[in-house]
This record gives sequence, C-alpha cells and structure tokens, in this order.
Amino acid sequence: MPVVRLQSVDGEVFPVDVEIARMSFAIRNMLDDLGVQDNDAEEVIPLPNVTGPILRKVIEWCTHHKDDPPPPEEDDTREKRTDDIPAWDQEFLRVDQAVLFDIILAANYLDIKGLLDVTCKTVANMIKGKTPEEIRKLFNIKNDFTPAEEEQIRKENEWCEEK
Amino acid sequence: MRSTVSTVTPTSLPYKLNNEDTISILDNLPIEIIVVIFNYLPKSTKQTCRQVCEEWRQIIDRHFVKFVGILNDRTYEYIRASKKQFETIIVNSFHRALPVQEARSTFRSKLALSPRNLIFTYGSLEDSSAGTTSANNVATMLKLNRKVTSLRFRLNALKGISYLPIHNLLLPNLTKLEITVNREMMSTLVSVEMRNDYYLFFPLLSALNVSVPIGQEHLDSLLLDLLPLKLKEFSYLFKRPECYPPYNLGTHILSNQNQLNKLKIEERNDNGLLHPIIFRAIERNSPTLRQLFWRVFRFADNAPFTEITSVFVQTLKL
Repeated sequence: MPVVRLQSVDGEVFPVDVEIARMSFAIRNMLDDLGVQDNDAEEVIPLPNVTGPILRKVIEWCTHHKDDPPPPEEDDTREKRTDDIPAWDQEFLRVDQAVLFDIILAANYLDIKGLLDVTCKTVANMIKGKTPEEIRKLFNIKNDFTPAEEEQIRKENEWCEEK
Repeated sequence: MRSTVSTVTPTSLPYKLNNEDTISILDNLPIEIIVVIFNYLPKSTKQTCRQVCEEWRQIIDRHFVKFVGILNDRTYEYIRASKKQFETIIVNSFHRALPVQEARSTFRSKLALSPRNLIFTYGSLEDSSAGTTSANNVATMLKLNRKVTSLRFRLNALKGISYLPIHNLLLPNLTKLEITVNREMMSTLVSVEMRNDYYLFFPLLSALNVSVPIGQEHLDSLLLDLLPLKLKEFSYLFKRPECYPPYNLGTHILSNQNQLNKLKIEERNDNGLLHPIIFRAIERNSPTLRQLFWRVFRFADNAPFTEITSVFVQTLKL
C-alpha cells in the first residue's frame, strides 16, 4: 500500500496509507495538484493548521472508517438526526471539550465530511435539552443580554418559524 | 479489529485566560461550523440557543428562522418594540385606537414592519371574543406597509367593515392578492359604501384569488384597477347565476387574460358544461396554462348556498 507522509504544525510526521489520506478532500486536492504518484512515498505534506495529537486522532478516525460507503447526498428536507452516531465514534469522541473542538477544526480544514458531521452531531447532542444558562456554563459563554432584552427575545420565540 | 482510543490533551490554543475573564471555546469556531451544529437542532432547541448570547441569536435569526408576528391588542406593544424583520404579519382582532401620528408620520412609525406577507384574519378559535380588525387599523396597516408582496384577507376578515379610509393607495410590490368572504357577511358587504375616491393600485399583481358570493358590485370598485393587469394566477368564485354571465368582474378580468399559468374556477353550474367565456379563456391561455382547477356547485332549486347537493371537483394538469 502506497504511503504519504503528513506533517503536523509541530513537526511530527505521520506515514499514512494514500487511500486513508485521500479521505480528506483537502489532502486529495493537494496530492492531485502536486501530481504525486502512488509510489512517490517520500513526499511530505505539511498541514500547518493541525497539531500532532489532533492529527493522530484524525488519522485514527479515518483508519477506522476507511471502508465506509460514501456519505449519502444531503437531503435538506429530512429531519437531521443526531441519534445515529456509531458506538465506536461515541467512544472515540469521549474526549476533553477542547480536543473535540480541535478535531472539528481539523475536520473542517482537512475537509473530511464524515468526521465533521459526527463531531458536529456530538456538539448538538451536548446542547440539546439544556437551558440557556446551562449552555452558557457548558461552553463558558458570557450572557451579554440585559434582562429587558432577555424578555424581548423570549417573546420573539413565539414568532419563530423554521425557514 | 477494534482500535484503542487514544487520550489527548489540547495543545493548540490557550482557551482560558488567567483571571475570571475567560473566553468561550466557541470563539475559535468559524461561523459556518456553528451553523452546521445548529442545523442538527430541533426548533425548540434553536429557540433556546437564541437566548444564550447575542452572537448566537444573530446566527439563528439569519440562517434558521423567519418571523411570523401576530398583531392584536395583546401583542401590540411587543410587536412595536421588536426590531425584527418579519416575514409575515398576521393582523387579528386588532381594535386598539392607534395614536394619530402612527398613521401620519409613516416612515417613523413602529408599525411600519415591512413584512413580505400581510394577512388579515377573523378572530381565532382560542379567543372567542375576537372579531375582525377595525377598519381604521386595516387602513393604517396597509398605509404603513405598502411594500407587501402578498396581501390576504382571510375568511370573514372584512366582516363588519363598512368602508376603509384609504385614498389612492399604491402597493407597488404586490404580486398576490387574496380576498375570501363567505355567506355570513353577505349582508355586510351589500351595505358596504365605497367612496368614489377609494382606489388601490397594484401594478405588479400576478396572482389574484377572489371568493365573493354576492355583493361584488361593491368589490368591483375596489378591484377596477385590476382590469389591465396580466395575471399568472387567477381564481374566482362565480356564485349567483344572475352575476354570471354575461358580465361581472370575474368574467371581465378573465377575458383580459392571456398569460395565465394557473386558473381556478368555482361556479354554480347545473349542466356540468364549461361556459363559453371560460372555455375561450382556457383556449386563449393554453400556451402558458399549466394548471386548471374547476369546481362546480350544484344547488337544489332556490336552496341557499349552504345546501349544496353535489360538488364536482376537477383538476387538470395540462
């Protein structure tokens, strides 16, 4: 199996099967742009936005999911489910909140749709069922509303309809 | 093979500052990712998220919700105080006398809400004391919100209104007008006194749906300016044999149309045949006509409208 070498921002180099690296559309495009051949194993791809520990996690996820079928086409009319996260992914994402968000940023930067979906679903599940105050506490968000504004926003909620 | 899950400590960015002035972990996320996350939330949770902080409120309001305000005596203060851009305003039993300047200084009024859709309704089921909105308030809302694209008077919304104090009002963006009345308000409509100087103009109108059983001679003056319009959608309720044909507003407007996409005819008809006027209209509009809806009411002789003996519904996809 041909291998590419991915280099994190802190200089760590990870040899990765090309097939797995190509699950990232960003890396796929870089490889295509560079005209890298399958046997060109010495090529090092620098990833200036991803740290070594996070890159290791991302590669771990991609390795586990390398045989997944391609994700289905987006169907916006369908209700978005968040209760369909595979058990392995749930365990994999049981990490410090800051790590979870670093993985989201990496998945976004590397353009790995499956990983971005599952991490965003995980965050959505953290938000569901909580009060505004609990959500603020969870993410350390400052309440920047005055009591009068809070009242007005609560009132506006009666008028909300989904677009 | 089951991989083991590695443990990692965050190294990339300092999330906490020294003192109590901490920053949120979410401050590092691009807005498009927050949008993806919110997209997984049901409506009720999105509403909760609006209450978390100003940035979240803005994201939700911009990407996920539209605002439908129901204006009545109870909600009046909140609607006025709101800075929301409403997609739709539904005016429902709104009687409170508005301050005089509300109607005069139009561009400063807080009831100039610029909704795309303005809907007047008859009182809702949950409020049995509710009735129609007062004529003055209907007129005021029309004057203050001239840029509506869709204007609807729902069933009985004009009940009890003898005239609207409006002079030469231009609704420049209106594309859809719907007026629905029913038998209950026939007597009211008969007594409507339209003033001679009562005009509404809507040069861009492309869809007109009118359901008026009788007394439409009064509505005729309201709709006279529609005659030169080329509509894409037209529906009309032809109810009384004496109004139909040879001449009434519905047939007159219909005979001017040659670009209709959608035509809905509701009529009293005892022989089940298309009237020649309608038949010719279908022929004339056939290059563009995509949907024809023809609904026929049959009456027992001299029976009131409520005693329909059979209804024939036909929808043709052309």
